[in-house]
Amino acid sequence: MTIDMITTHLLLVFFSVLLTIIFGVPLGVVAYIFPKARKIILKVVEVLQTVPALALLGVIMVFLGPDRATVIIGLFAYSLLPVVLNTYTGLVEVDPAVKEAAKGIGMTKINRLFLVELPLALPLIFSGVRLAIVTSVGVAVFGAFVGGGGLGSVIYESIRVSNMKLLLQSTAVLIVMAVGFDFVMSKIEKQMNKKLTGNSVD
Amino acid sequence: MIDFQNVRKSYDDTKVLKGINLNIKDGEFAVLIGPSGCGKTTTLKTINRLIEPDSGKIYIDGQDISTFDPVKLRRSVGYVIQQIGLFPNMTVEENIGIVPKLLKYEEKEIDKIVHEMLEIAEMDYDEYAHKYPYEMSGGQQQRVGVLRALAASPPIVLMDEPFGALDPVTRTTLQNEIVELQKKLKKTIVFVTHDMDEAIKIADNIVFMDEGEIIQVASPEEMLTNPKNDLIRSFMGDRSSDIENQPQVVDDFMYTNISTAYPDYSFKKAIGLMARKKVDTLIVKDRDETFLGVVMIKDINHKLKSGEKSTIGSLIRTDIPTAYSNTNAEESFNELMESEYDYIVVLRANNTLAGIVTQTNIAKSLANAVWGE
Repeated sequence: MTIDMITTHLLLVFFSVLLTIIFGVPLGVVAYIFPKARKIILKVVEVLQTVPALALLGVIMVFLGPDRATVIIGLFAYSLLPVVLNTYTGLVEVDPAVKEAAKGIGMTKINRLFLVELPLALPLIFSGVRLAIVTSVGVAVFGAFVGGGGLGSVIYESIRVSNMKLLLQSTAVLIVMAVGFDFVMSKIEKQMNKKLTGNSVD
Repeated sequence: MIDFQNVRKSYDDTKVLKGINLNIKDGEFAVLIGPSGCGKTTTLKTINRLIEPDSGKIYIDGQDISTFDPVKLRRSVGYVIQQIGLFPNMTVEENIGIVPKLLKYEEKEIDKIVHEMLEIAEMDYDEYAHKYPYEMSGGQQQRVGVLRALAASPPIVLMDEPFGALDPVTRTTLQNEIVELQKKLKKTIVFVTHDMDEAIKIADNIVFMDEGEIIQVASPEEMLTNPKNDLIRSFMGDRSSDIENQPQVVDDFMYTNISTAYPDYSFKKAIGLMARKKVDTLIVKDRDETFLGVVMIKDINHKLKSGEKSTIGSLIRTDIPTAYSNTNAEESFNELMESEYDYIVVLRANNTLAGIVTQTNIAKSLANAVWGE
């Protein structure tokens, strides 16, 4: 196990989650604004996450070959659900009084979305991103099978040669990574909630 | 001026507004009231087009509002709601400045407006401007809600039960403030409430609605004395009867258990009587009950010191204010307030003694009229 492998693992997670945010948040917004698109979008992202991760990576590999891009796209598709769903839910759950006030004082739909609704949905969206990251850290392990490298290849190798010390080391790094992201981002999320409501709701 | 012409609205089979015709003048404080489901809030929301009528027209200053861009219309009409609806992601300053910001005012201008607005509500800029809504009490939040509605100087402000969720003390304070504000800023205010006390307190005109129709439009006084139907009367509660039974003549206030004396009482007897009754004056009457005047203890003491022994008949003062029992109460109150005596003697038509009205009587009666028995 080298620093390089850890970095690769982190980069796989980083780029896939970046894609998730870039596509997931707008998809959530579209689901919120257009009731007709809602069912389709939510269903598709749900199915994507229901498909076993390895199967999903396999399917993508058929088209893209064994490559890091395959892993990134796989992770992206796999972690869309929490971001899309939380964006949608966050927007729907904005206090109706606030929405009415926003409309009543003369905000356009776009004004409402960017000045009020998205800022208020932000903690929940952030929570979705946190879930996406934590999931991706784990799922990226499968990346080793489709040419992604990262910690997955170390774990696979140490199992193959029964190197228990290396297995423990690599899984420990993985656990620290997932728990660490979760811990830090939960803290940030609480701060965001506190700023809006005065309560640090989990 | 806001002019409703035959405005109708239905949801499915339910007719919510059955042809509203209403005229609200510039600078008028109009309060829409009625039982729930009467259409008062629907009527209010047609003014800023949050609800579009099925038929009929609404004109603001002669212009049909259905031809306006709804967003522009709403930016020119203030809007305050019961749930307050401040934006939790914005500070007080940003909340107040939001409409000017939407209207693309310059930063400096917005800043000036925010300062002015906070000043109107007597909220210290340094203390409040950078607070978030959750950091304030409900009352303070709704003050900011009102300021947000006023910030872009809209000539019309719509208020949908704005004080309904506040505690009674805060509600009273904010009611007083909005009345003051309206006098100062001369806004046209359309205010929805289900609380008749509130309506009577703040309205120039009360618009009473029931089942999608306007039943009566009248000033609070007119509606109190002349409610158009039983429903309005019941909404008024006991107040209408209060007005009918309000004491109108001095007879209603009169105190009849009084200390009297005859003019032939000796000084000693009069003083003894005063001591027993714990009073400092006696009302002197004839044997046939005709009122003669009053005797005061200080006059008797004065004579006693100079060694005179006589009857009180020589000390009768006749300058005490008197009234007949059917005299208009207000008139005699005024006389009492200006008099050096603290009561008025009430006489029957034949000048016999009926009773007295003291300042305490008046205070009690006023208290009853205001707070109930």
